[in-house]
Amino acid sequence: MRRWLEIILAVGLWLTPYLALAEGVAIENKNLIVDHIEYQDVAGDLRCPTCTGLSVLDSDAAFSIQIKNEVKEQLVAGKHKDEILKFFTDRYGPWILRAPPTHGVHLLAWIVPISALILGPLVLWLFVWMRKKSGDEHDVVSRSVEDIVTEMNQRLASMRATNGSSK
Amino acid sequence: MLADIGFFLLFLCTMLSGYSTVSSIAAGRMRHRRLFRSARVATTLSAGLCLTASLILWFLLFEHDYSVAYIFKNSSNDLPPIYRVTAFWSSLEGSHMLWTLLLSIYSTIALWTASRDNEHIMPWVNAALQSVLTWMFYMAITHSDPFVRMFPPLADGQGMNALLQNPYMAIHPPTLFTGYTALAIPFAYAVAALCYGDVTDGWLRTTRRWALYAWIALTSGVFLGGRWAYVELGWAGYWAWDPVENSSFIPWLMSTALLHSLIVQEKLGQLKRLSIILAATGFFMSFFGTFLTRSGVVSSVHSFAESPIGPNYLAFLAGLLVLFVGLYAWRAHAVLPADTDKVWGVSKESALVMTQFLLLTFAAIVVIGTLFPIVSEAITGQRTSIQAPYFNAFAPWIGLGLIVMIAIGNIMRYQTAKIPDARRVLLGSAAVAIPFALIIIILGDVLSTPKKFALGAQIVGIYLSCWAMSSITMDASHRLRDLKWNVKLMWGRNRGFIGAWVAHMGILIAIIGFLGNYRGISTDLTIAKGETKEFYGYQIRFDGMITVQSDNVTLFQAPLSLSRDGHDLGMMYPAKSKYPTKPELLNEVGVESSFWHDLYVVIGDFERKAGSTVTLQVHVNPTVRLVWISVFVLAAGGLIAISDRHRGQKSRDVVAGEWEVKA
Repeated sequence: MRRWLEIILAVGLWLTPYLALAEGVAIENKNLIVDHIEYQDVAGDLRCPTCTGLSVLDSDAAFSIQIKNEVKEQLVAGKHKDEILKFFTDRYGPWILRAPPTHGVHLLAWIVPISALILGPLVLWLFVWMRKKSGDEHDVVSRSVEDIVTEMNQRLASMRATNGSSK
Repeated sequence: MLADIGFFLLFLCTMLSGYSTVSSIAAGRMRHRRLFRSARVATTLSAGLCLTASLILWFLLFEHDYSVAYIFKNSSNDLPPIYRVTAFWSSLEGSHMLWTLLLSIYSTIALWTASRDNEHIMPWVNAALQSVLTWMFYMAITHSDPFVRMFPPLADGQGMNALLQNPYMAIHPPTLFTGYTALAIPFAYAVAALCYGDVTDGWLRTTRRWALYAWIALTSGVFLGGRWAYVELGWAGYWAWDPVENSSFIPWLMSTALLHSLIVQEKLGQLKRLSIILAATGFFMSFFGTFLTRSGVVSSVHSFAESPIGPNYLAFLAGLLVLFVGLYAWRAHAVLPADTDKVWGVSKESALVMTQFLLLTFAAIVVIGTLFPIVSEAITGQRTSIQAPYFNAFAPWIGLGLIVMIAIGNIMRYQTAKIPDARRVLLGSAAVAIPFALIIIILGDVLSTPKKFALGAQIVGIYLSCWAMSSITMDASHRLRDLKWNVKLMWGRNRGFIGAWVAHMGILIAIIGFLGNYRGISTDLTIAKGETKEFYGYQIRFDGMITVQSDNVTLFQAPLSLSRDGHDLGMMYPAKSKYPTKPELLNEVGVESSFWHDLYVVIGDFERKAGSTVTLQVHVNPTVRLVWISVFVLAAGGLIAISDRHRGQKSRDVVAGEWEVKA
């Protein structure tokens, strides 16, 4: 028991500085912030205004660098992702975000695919189920391949028999 | 002079294709064989003349004939020979010409190689193809004429777009266009089936072949495009959900869905109309993608070819859509339901439909994501962007669905809910997958992914992919065991199955590759001359900038000596390049590949006077190699499947097809 405690303690002690480091980097050193996950997260969600398809994180256009610096400053000031993104949408409109916002007309871009993905399989299942049900009602049993083969063999045998009798 | 001949040839092509269309329709209506033969000659002639016109354009490119505006705009005296060849398709008029050329060649091949079973529908096939081609030729002599002259001719051209001066541009566009244009053949057969009134005996066989061919080309083309982006654009990725990339991905998804619909049709005779619709929409979407990127409706990094031909494209697409929908509404009832009493239940056919549903929903999401900004701006007047994060929100879920469908769908059987050895295969592969997934997770360094959701998605995804791989492999081995391990028999009689197995392994390898670099690691390093810095176990030493002149490019190279754990990895030469055509500097990336990750280096900035310091953006991209490997596996699967001579033959109905039944 004591041994386990020791191990846990040792591992804990070993991990603590890493945790502290992860928190500390963003706040103290602005140059190291590029490696920071929160920074990459925020900058990755903002579009480069002058390029096509790229986030400010991936772009070195002058405008992107401005935005990146702003993001760094706000992160250092202790702001959260949502606040920073809101700051930029207030300034440039929802266009600055790389994914459409979740209100108004823009919501359609989210609702349509999500509902298709959820309802589609349901509809398909319903369709198969109804087909099967009507099949059962009309006594068309879903036969296995083996059954079909036996049936075919029987039919073949009966055909041979009739052929033989007509000869 | 030669340019004028080229133009005249294209004019003749327009006439010939127009004649071919009209006479084919007449021949189809009147069942007039000799009239159709004349149409076939016209088709062949027009393809030959189009080829001649293309050769003239190439010849003029090599001759530096700057009296042709297209050549003036896209080439220059210092352009290396290989880019003289690729200059052909480096801008709008030329790439339209390449489309046209490939379409006319494939139409001709399709016409002459048609099976005798299809003889009576060939007039309709030809009419569908030639009506499209007539319009393409018409565009080539009006709004998109590559032979337009300019006067007075200048001594040197403007030069080619610097981003296109990359070896991948020699094969990527022709491959992709091959895929787009080969999809025209299934489209034409779909139209023919509607006109004729049913799916003929040879229909499936031919459509399957061309769809597979198009699929192989599209797969290779899409991946080659990704590879080009990876080595040329310098943002350490190969896929950005850019509109042009999307427009190549949509036809890929549609053609994949078509292949899965065709197999149900082959085995059970059902889903004929779905195949017809998918064959038509696949081709339509490849045209639609071209329209999107040519017209400037959506902006894209790949829009090398913008022009005012947008309205013409739109009119053509609308016409194509109206005609096809009209034809379908009028004639679809003539395509009889399958002559079978087979009952549709929870079996392989349902799994295949489910797979198609996922593929088509994915295609729909990509279309929505590409077009929604235009729609929402029209409604609200407010601009929005839809970029990678939107698509990345859906892609993992669809990927998950596809993995599960691959694993389960493949081991299911037609017409029965019973899966042979289901528990053993599914649970056994679940166990087998654990060590494989662990190996990938550890060697691919997945655990260093910082974000929790991404980490979870990666681990689950990689494990499930391994599970699906072992599941389909175990199923394949069970089928072989039923054949008493007679591999030769399987290869001879059911090569399509082997092809499918290989292709599914390929897509799973690709998915593992995508998952592995879901989030790479990157940093900025500033290194002074002679200094060594370390990142991710690599020691990077910088020896000062050097300037290199190669052909028309001036390269500012940062020679880096790399070593890892004491092993010397040699030199890497990332660079900034200066092309005569562009004022700004472009990135030439440095990539050091190992099996499990790439070290990807881009120069951020360098000290301009003496070149004594350099700032590098260093990325570690895990499992990229798997993505590049997967394309070979996918293409190999497609090629194996296409070489199956027995698929699509009428004699192979469900019983004959299930050769493992011991009767």
